[in-house]
Amino acid sequence: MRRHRAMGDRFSWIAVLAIVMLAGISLLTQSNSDYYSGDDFYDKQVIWLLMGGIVFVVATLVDLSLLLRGAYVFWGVVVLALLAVALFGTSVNNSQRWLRFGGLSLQPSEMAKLAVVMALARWFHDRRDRVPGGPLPHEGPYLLRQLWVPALLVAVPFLLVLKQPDLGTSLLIAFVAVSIVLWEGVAKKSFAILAVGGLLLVPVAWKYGGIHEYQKDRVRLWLNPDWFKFDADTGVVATARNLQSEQAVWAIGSGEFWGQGSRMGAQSRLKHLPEMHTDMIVATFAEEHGFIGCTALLVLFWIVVLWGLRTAHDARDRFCTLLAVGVSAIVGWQVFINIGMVAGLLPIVGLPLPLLSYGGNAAIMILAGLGLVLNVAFTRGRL
Amino acid sequence: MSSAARFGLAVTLSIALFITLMGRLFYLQIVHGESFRERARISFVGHERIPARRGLIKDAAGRVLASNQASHQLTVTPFYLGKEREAVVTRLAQLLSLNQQEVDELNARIDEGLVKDRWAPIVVRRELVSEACPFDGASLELLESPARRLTCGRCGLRYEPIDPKAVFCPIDRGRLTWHGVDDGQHGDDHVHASCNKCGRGFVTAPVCPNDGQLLTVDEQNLGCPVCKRTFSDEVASLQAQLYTLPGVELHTSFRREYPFRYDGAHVIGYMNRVTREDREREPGVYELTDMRGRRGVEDAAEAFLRGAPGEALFLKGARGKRLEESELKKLIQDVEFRRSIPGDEVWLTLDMQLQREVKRAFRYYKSGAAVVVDAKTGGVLAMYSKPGFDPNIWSGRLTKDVWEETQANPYSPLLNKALTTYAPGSTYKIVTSIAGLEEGIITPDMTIHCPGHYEYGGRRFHCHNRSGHGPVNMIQALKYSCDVYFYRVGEMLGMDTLARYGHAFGFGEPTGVEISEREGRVPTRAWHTKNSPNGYQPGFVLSTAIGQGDLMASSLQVARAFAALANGGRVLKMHLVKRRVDEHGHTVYEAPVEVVKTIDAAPQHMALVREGLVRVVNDPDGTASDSALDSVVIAGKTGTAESAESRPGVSPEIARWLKEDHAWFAAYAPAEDPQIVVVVFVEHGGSGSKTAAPIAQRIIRSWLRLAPRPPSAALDPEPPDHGGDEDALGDGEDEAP
Repeated sequence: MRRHRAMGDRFSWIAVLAIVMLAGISLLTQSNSDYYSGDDFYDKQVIWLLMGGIVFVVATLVDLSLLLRGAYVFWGVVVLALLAVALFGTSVNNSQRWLRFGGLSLQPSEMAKLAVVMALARWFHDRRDRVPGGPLPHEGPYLLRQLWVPALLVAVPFLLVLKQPDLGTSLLIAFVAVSIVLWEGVAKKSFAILAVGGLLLVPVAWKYGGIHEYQKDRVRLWLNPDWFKFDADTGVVATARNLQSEQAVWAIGSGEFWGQGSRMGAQSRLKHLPEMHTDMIVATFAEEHGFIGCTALLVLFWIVVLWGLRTAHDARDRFCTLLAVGVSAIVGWQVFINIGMVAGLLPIVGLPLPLLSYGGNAAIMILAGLGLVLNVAFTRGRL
Repeated sequence: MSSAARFGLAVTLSIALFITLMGRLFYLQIVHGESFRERARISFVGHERIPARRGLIKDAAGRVLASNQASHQLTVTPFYLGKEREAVVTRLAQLLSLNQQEVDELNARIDEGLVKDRWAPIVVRRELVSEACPFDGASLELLESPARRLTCGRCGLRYEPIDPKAVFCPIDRGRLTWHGVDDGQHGDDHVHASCNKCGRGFVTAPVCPNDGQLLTVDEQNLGCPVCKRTFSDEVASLQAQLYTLPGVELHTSFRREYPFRYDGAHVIGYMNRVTREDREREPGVYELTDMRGRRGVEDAAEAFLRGAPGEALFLKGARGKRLEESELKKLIQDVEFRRSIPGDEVWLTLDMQLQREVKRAFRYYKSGAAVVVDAKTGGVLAMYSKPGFDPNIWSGRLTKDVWEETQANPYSPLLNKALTTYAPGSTYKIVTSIAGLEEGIITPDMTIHCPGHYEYGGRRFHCHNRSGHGPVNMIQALKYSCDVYFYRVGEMLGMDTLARYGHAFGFGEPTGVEISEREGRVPTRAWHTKNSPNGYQPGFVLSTAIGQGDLMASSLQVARAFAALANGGRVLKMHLVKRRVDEHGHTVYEAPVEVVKTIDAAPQHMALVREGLVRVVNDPDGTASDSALDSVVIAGKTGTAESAESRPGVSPEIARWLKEDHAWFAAYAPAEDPQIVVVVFVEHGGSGSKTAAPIAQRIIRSWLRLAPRPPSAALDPEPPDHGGDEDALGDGEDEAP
């Protein structure tokens, strides 16, 4: 046990170093993207990351039992915020995601990720780690019918985010929730029903709404890059190959082994990369720094994920364990989906790359989550 | 499942996902990296903004007042040169006749570009002027003449533009014979010269002396001395050659040109780079390097002139060559071309021929303004402000010299004095007259004795004639411009009643003209209580009654008031924009005749005042009797507004000028059926009758000569090689007596 703690501490510091390096890569790439596009995202990202750093320190020091008590409240606040977005949010690119207060823009869907993790952690905590004198703790894997409360905790924010529409974030919430539930353990039969049900849901949603036409187009494009569509209204061949994602693939590919060098990316230079500061930032990075740079980037992310899982494994209390699992799942799945989508492995869903992509809400929320993991590592998961 | 197994499973999953991504990256970057890099190199897809062509500004007869001139720029992008670099540089040197020094410089810049920024285009030539033969590289020679040539569309005769003061033929130094020298009766349109040696014809203005047609400009005709080929458009021939050279591109942009230069510059305006405020005021409209209209119609009609930019997706093939649209469509199916929509053509009510006559009429005076307005429609036929500026110089980047010179000029060249407000002087007496008659204070025959001064409130107000006019009735009072008569009327009317009639005539209110104007001011008791240092004084009404004191009006407002008097009381909306024509030639806007309000005055009262104005000009003892014309009856009113001012640090000459009164003359003609209203304002010009009235007389005479104007009356943008002198046509101050 002693050996574990010593190693956990050293590992934590390595992970913090990895996080700092990722933030550095973010600033470098933001600055280079600014150079290509003529924007000024770098200056703002510096401020967001500094604010995120403060939040990170606060999250490291906060009393975790406070979070345990506040988990449902936080969840409720986020759901209300999501409702507010649906009612009077600000639209950007046909997607209603923002709440504006003067100069301040809040993106509740970013907070929803953490809120779902905390709410689920609280619920499972209440089942397993009962206070003395309470009802008997739950034992063994869960059956499906025992999971209707967590299902509700996930479904409400999931549907509200899906409605915006923000398919990427809502899918991420689902992935993270499933990761937590699987960590807790589900009966084999229940798991099978869940898996088959989930698979069946896709064609049903495809047929009977829930998936936007442009989202379907992206899937069609992913499955068949030569697919195109004839628009009956305007009589023109509208969307052929998805040039944008294709260009991102070209950009990544043309990075080759060593990369073209900082501020030397041809695709980026010619402003061919859409969303080059946000969802597609890894394409710019890959073009500039090649396979070597990408490997380093992935290793850094993997260190963070591994550290999260390790911390979860070492944590004493259920709430702390699941908190660390949830944050690791957020980082891990988001990295996989984002890079997979930019590299053409997955269909295009809008999802930023943690820490690297430009965005104040995303940077602050992910650093808050990582701060909580460090908190768990330091306290060894005791409330 | 044990905790350790769960942990192990999660770590395994994370490793699996990590390996999947690494595999994909390996596949893209290592296995296919080179081909992707090559693919990225040969086919860049990007969005491009296609700028819209700015609408032309034309005068009422269709003469172009603001046009767009193509300017070509040649660039090389180092990234595409590769192994062919040397060949490209050699070919460029040949085509553009670069000398060794220029070639070395180009090479140095390519070297620098390869290190610093391989994709930044290097500008090789800013303006393409003369080129080498694309077939054998020999320098092209101009076939006939080094200057641009003008051709008459009707008779086919060819002319060269020339300075009106030239003595020798610029081509072979033969002596010139000048024809049709300005005799003061005609314009200078037909002034032309011929060379005694080569027989070439020369014109000072692009108007055919043979049949009055507007001349069109020929492209320079270039010939190759080796292969004897000729080129009508060197840029086009160059373009064909450039297409084979990697990384070399020809960019064409448009520059605004104002062929009439100083004439009407205040009305037309100019263009310059948008500022941050412009971009914030109209988000999404302008790019950083866009230009925007400033002052005049360029500014006022900006929204219509600028059009809407288009957008294109473009694909560059191998060696940096842009693919044609058809080729592009073969490669990618979702090419979107949104064409740009050219701006509307704006036709003004202005008649440039008349405008130039106004300028000539004004030649003896340094500063002032004149407007000519259609009395029935409110269309502005001429609006002149002196001194002017050359919008060609003001468009684009301004040199510090020009800026400082303009700032130091005591006559404020940038100010449109026709829309700036000054005390209107005695021209305002028409308002006092109508007010007095309407309010029943005076009758047409009632006389008031003028001893040369008027005692009021313990002060003595002088008449301009210190010895007095004796007993005068209304018509006489207008004719002699007797101040005492109007002091009396003003006193009986009172400040606010007089102000009410001032507003009825449109004073103190915008005229509605499209370009930016001052509203002026009709003072009331309330205004004085608020703004005068000692509050309202009873004597103020006396000053206002004769158009002095705090009354402020622009020339255009005076013109509108006289138009209203002339046309039976209709106060019209003044306008400069006659119509707008869209890219298809459809008229999208036609200025209506808009009556803002009607002066509620008895017709016989108006007729009486009009009779007074006729007497001003046509009675031998009227104040403007020297300015009568035989051919038409002019009705008008002189004005001499006291306006001595002092400015620190000016030369004695300027200080003396500042002491003079403002001279006004407002008139309409013909008196029996008023067609036009002419208002002349000479800043510190002295007496209205001696200074302003003769100018107006000359303008009306020119108008008579020009009307009815032939539909195709051609006219002369000044040739651009006439230095910066606004009076290049020889009607400047040097001719002043």
